[in-house]
Amino acid sequence: MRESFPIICPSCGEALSATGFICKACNTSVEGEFELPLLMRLAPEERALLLNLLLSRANLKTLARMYRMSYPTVRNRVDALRAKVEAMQEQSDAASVEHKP
Amino acid sequence: MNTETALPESKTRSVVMWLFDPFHYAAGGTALLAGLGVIVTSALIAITAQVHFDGTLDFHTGADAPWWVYFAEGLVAWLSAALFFLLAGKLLSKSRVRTIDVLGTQALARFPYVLFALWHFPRPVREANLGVVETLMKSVSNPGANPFAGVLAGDLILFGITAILAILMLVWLIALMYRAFAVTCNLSGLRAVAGFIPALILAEIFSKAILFVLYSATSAT
Repeated sequence: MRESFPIICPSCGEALSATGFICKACNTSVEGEFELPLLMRLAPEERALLLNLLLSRANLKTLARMYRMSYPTVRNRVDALRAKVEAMQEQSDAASVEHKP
Repeated sequence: MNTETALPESKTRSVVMWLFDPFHYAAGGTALLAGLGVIVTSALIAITAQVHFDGTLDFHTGADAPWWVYFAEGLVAWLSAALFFLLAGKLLSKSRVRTIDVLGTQALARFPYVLFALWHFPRPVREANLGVVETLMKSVSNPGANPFAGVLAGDLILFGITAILAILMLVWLIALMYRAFAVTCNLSGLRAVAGFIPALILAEIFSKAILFVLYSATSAT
C-alpha cells in the first residue's frame, strides 16, 4: 500500500520540513533543512484537485464531470484552493524577505 | 490506482442529499431543464388543485383562473427570485457567477411546491379547505361567534394538515433557495445571509407587483 506523504507533525501540528534525500542509484545522501515546496504543503485532496485541473485542461466543465459534481461546486473548490495558494505564497514571500541578510 | 489524482469519496449520493442540497450535483442547464419541468408540473397540477403560487414565496388556495395564469404565476415567481439573487451574487461574490446556474438552481428549488400542489389535488382536501376558509371569512363579520361553527371535524383535520404542510413546504423552499444562492454565488456565512434576505424580500415584492398588473389586465378583459 502506498503511504501518503506526511506534511504536518503528528505531535504538534506544525508544518514538517525535509532534512535529507537519498539517491537510490548511487546511494548519495544530501542532508540539510529543506522547506517543502508550496505544492507539497497542500493536503492530498488539494493536490489531486490541482492535478485533475491540469488533466482536464483547466476546463471546469470537464473537471465537474470527473468529480461528478455540479459546475459551481467545483468552481468554488478551485477558487478556495486559489485563495489558499495565494495566502501561502504571500507567507513564503514574507518569510524569505525576513531571512535575507 | 494513481493516488495522486484519486478523486475524493463523493458525498453519499443519498436521498437526503438530493432533497436538501441537490445543487452539489446539479446546476446549469441540467438544473434548468429539471426546474422548468418542476414549474410546468406544479402549474398543471395547480390548475385542478386550485393552488396559486402568487409570489416568490406566496401561495394560496381557492380562486379559479384561466389556465395560463397558473403558468404565468410559476414563471414570475421563479424569474423574480433568479433576478434578485443574480444581482446580489454579482455584487457580493468574488467568483464568476453564471446566470444559467442561478436560473437553473432557483427553478429546481421550487420542487416543494409540486408536493403541496399534489396534496391539494384530491377533491376532499380541496373542498375541506375551501369550506373551512369560507366559514372563517364569514366569521370575520361576526366577531363574537365560534369561527369554526358548522365545520366538520374531518374538514378541520384536513385544514390543519394543509396548514402544517404549507409551513413545512415553505421552510423547505426557503432552505433550497438559500443553498442554491450560496452554491451558485460561492457565498457563505454572514455574507450569504446578508445577500439572501434582502434579495428574497425584493423578489417577493417584485413578483407580487408583476402579478398584480397581470391580474388587473386579466380582470379588465
